[in-house]
Amino acid sequence: MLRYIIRRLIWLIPVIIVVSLIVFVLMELAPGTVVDAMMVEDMTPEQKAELLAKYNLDKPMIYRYGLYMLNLLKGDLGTSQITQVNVWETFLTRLPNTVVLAFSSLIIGAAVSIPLGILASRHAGSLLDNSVTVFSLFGMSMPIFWLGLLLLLLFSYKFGWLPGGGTREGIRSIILPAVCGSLGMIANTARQTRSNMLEVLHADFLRTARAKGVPESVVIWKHALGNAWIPILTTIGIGLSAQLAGSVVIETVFAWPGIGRLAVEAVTQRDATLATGVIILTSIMYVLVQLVVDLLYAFVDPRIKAQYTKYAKRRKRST
Amino acid sequence: MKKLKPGASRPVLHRRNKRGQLGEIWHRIKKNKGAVIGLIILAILVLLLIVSLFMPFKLATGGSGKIRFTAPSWQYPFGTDNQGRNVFYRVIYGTRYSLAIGLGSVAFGLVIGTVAGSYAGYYGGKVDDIILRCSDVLASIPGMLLGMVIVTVLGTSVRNLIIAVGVQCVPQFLRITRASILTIKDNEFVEAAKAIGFSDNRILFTQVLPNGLSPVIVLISTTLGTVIILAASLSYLGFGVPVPHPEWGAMISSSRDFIRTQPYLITFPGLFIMITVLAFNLVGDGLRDALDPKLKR
Repeated sequence: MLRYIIRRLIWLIPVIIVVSLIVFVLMELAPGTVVDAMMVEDMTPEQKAELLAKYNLDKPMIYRYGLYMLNLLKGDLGTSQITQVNVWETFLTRLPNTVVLAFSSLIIGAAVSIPLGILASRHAGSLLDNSVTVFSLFGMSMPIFWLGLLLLLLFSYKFGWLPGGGTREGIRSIILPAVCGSLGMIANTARQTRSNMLEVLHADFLRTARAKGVPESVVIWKHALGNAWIPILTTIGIGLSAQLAGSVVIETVFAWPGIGRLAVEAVTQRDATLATGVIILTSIMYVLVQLVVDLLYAFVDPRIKAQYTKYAKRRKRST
Repeated sequence: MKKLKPGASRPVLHRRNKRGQLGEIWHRIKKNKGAVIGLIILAILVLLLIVSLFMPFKLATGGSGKIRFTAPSWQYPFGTDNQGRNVFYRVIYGTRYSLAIGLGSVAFGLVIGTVAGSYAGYYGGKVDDIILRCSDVLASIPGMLLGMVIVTVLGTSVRNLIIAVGVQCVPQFLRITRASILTIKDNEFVEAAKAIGFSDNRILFTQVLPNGLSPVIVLISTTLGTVIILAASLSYLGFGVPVPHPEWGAMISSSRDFIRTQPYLITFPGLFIMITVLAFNLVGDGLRDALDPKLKR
């Protein structure tokens, strides 16, 4: 198990190198530099040259990339070219907002979708089942920014129940973005849960369990769900990593100061250092969340845990 | 159960035998209510697209200050926006962007992903390792962020948006093609082709790949929906189709400031995005059920 984790963590190194290379080169190729953004009308050529030299923009790109990677090795992501604040610090101040939002969406999503999916599968073909199917189809087809705007329109502007963005009102201000973020997850997970439950619902071991006199709720929640977990967990995991990494849209719609919003600001302002740093860190987070989800499989399904240990043993023997 | 006329069962049986592989798939899709609805919506959208091709660009972008913010009426079914432009015309004109971007980026991802995935699966070993690692790295960059950076570099245009979104389809197509090739390449007919002396490329693209396409086809239709949403989201954030073009996501973005007073300005473009994506999802589901009878219950 530990070997597996280490192997997966080592995999982060090429990811970091390639991601940094791609994003760095792309940001370099982007028309206009940060100096153009900062230029004032009556700047003398000397002042401009001085500015260029300050950001090493007069030197070749490969030099700047080498310098960047060298600093990265030391754990230094540089400072933002516009605000002059350390990239790592900026990221850390924004991160909690994104994490809180992602986990709120996750909790709402899981709490609604799994029971919904189970209910639909147990009454397959009923009106309830059909409405769950239709609901998840619509949920999957809805652009999230549009849903966000509609929610704002209804609950904030029309009824005035909830704030229209920002983080000022604490728990009240997180409700709308979290609900908005959870809808896609609810749609996908409810569908996944339904189809996986349908697969196991007629399995022999459930009949055995019922014959033994196990209460129906235990049969469903423990025996059936226990065997249908893996694909459901995968769907939730994908949802969570998408939320953590790609909450760009929701954060923009609800003016939520998280890392997605930070990335948009950095890219729009051509702040290459900040953009590169944020995207590298987000990618690392993305890979780590996927690792955690993979590890969770082992906890919900003993068969997979056995696979990990078998794998480790085989490796030991071969080395 | 429909009541059969006496003696009707034999010709039905007969026809079933005569149906080819494609005919069988078509038959299964026709029986799927959702897929039929999806196909009807798509047909209407294509019709709108064809009509819109005859619309002058001015009709969608020109407006007059006198009719700013008109609520929906018979004359202006979807109202008019802050520049007095007829939103109905704009929405109709905008059909082309979503469809072109959706089809274009899926084609982009399909071609690169399928070819690379075929080689990875067929040759295995080092080639497989390298290709798969590259695709994993690509897949570990969050899509929206990569899309934003690519559009920033290339500039905002329909073509560049297609590239930015298409790049993100590559890993999915690559993985699914590779997996499909792996299950097929050890078949005897592949061995036979080798024995005849076919070149590797010929075996791969005429013998192996055509037999492993059905998961890829399903992926095409399900990806189309997500791709259209992704493209619209990028447009909404300002990393998409440049301003005067009435792309649906960009229309919502430019009307964002007026939603308190003119909610219809965001309602209709959004509704069209949703309906388009819904249609692709419905057809995708139907196609999956039709191509993979195992999944159908």
